Amino acid sequence: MVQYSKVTVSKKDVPLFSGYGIYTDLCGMGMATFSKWGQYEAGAHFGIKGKYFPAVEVGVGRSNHTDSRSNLHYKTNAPFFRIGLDYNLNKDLTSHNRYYVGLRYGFSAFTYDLDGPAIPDEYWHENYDFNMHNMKGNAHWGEILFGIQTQLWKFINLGWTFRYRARLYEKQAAPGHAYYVPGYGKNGESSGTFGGTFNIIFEL
Amino acid sequence: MKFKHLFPIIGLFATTACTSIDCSLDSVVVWTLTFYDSATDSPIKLPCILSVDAERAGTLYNQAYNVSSIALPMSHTADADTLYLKWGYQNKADANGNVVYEVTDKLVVAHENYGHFDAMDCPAAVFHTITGTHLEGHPFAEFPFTIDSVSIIRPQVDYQDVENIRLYFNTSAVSDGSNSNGK
Repeated sequence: MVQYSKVTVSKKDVPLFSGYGIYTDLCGMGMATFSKWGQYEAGAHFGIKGKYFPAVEVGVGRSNHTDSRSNLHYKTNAPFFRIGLDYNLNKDLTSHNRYYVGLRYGFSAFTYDLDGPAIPDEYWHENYDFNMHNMKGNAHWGEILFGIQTQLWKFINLGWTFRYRARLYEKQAAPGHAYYVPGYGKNGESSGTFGGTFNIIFEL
Repeated sequence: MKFKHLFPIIGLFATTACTSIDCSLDSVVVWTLTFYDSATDSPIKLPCILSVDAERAGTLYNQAYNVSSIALPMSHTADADTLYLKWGYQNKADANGNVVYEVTDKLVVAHENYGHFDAMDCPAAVFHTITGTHLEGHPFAEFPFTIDSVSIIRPQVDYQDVENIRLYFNTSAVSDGSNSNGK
């Protein structure tokens, strides 16, 4: 009978710079193309001892949506960036298969247009034209995430991240909370939101 | 670790944004005018009849009496609302039973207007910021209930039904004047 011994890689055997990767979010891309809002984004990370993965993510968030009930139309197209760190929970530090937790700090400065039906004035009988263009806002937020990636073929990997985003600060324009903040997602009175990414990762 | 088993499970939770936003229950935008005694700096209830008319709008409030505040609409587009505060005695009416107004004060409320929305599926509204006031009051001799001063308490006019502008009154001869002149 053949006995196999478990092969483990100690931290000492993992190089300081243990590879790097670039990735893009396919889901956000699909949402940006086909839904009310979404983002085109790409990121890069590199490994430190196979355990820590500093990451930078940049992208462009867009929304061009008219609500069927209120007839309000929201439009924005603006960049965002995130920076953070992932912590690999897999004991095999050399594997491209990983599950991990991470943190991000995100920021976006954006302008948006908000148009809607004229608001009637019952007393003075003059309509208020609800057309507000070039409204300026910005937002800072933090993210806590759980992610997983699996190797498909050589350097090609697929992965999910599931994220909770907590809004830290929002500079509002006159109309109030921006409907969509690039990189953060749907925005409103609530100070947090859930989101995620479906990544294709090229890793060496 | 069976990564390929975990992969679809985690995927069920990912990529969804689930923020819930409810429309405001109070979607009426009005500003609140309150009445104070200038000597004691305490609220008072109107001892006489007050009706409020506005240029280009007509009557905004009809026959307030024995109240310490009234809520008024604000123009959506004008830079200032010119209000006429018409005063009369509670127990003095003409032959048809209509209130006889003794004097009229002019109160101009300057403001800025801006659109507001809570969420895409909620109706939009017009909010305001009060930027100033100007009062042309009547003399004490004509009607013994005079406005001493006007104070902006909260410039923002939105969904919150809170005090925006306070009128301070000279109330020293109110009771006597009301009783002696009213018929």
